[in-house]
Amino acid sequence: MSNPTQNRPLRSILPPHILRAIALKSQDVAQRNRAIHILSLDHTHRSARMIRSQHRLHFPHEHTLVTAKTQVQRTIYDAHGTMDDWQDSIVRAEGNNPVSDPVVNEAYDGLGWTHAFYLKVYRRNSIDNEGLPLQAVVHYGTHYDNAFWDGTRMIFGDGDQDIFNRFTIAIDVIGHELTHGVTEYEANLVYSGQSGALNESISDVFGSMIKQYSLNQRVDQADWLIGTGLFTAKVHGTERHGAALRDMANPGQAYNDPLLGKDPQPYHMDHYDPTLEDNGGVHINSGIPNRAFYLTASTLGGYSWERAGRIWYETVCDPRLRPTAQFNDFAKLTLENAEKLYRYDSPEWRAVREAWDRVGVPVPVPAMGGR
Amino acid sequence: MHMQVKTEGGVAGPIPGLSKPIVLDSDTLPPQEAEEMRQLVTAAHFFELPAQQPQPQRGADYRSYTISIDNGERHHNVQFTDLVADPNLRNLLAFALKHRSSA
Repeated sequence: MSNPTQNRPLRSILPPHILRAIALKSQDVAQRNRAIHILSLDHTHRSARMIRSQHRLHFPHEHTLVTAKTQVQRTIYDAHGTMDDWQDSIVRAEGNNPVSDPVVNEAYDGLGWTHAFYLKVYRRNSIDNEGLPLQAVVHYGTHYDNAFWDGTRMIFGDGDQDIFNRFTIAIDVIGHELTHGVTEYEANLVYSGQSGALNESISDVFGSMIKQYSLNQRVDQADWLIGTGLFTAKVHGTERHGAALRDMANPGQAYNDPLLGKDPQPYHMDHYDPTLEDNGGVHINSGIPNRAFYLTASTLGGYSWERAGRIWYETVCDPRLRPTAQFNDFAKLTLENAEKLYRYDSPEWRAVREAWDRVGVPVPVPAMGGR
Repeated sequence: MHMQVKTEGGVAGPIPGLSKPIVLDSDTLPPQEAEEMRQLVTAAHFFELPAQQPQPQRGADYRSYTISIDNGERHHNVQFTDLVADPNLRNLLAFALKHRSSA
């Protein structure tokens, strides 16, 4: 376990460039790990944010002079099968060479692709848009069949190797988890009912785009599946494809297996599941907005992140998106952002409107003359 | 002693065939494991724990668990998530999860 008292002198005295030197060159493993850990907490970043905030307060009419660095800063920790003992076990830090454990490298690369996607496509500087360092914990728990965002970092289980493979295997799942962080910093959608299903859908949408970006795939080349490879070979898919967690193009068709049953996602509001399980069906009803995004992107063609993704990103960052937003609130805002980015009745605007219509979330639109 | 663990949530979502709870009974477990289960329940002060552990304010895709234990004299349920801080409760959960395939 980490010792905060032990860390404090380093954190308060040493400037970041010294910490970086220790992290890279120290022969003392414990000292090197402490330095990396402190850098991962990013004292520099916190200081910079505070300075920017103070600067804005005193000089509100000047552009900020301090800018957060846009270079990705990744740290991968190994829990060695435990659920809590990983803070001192850094296995790969930013700039380190690949290691022999593929799980570590998959996590490191997945964080890198996600950071690059947000930065290069939407000019977003990490999860918080202020350069937040990215942390991941691998080999969490024993036979742990899950990956989650704990509010600060990503946690990956190894799966039971019977039904589930390791959770780092799917880059879209890595993008999915980190996007929960983006959503938390922007709209902070309540993780329950329709707002929770929107939260889940946004993670699937951006997770899928991150996978497409990493493979340089156009809309018609993408499989639109979430979590390909996560299930072991024994799990049955459908006639269209092998088993995956979710199918954005055809919600409800991700798997159909004698042991696991059938994918429960609805593709239309007519089949909305009012269940109380799963925080009110956040992973079930997300199929509806997932399909709306797929339909928008497939109508527009090209790379999904260029137009459909841009509209969704602007909506996630739109201050009018309330934490308790419902599907129709989100749909209305995507249409308004399509109009703002392109224009009323443009191909993009029409693609968004038709997509929501087709999943049973129609957006009432006043006639042009009444606008 | 009878223990049942129900799991919800996770990035995979609810999978119909995996929703069955883990059920463990000290009468049917090998003696060493039955003793380990009793010790973990005692170490966790399970019957004194609040039925609802603190809910996370942040995070997503974490799992929620409900552990129900009946020791013949008392019955108690405790609900918590992957983000629970109590190491003794984590140890009890880890013990149960190891037995998932034998459920």
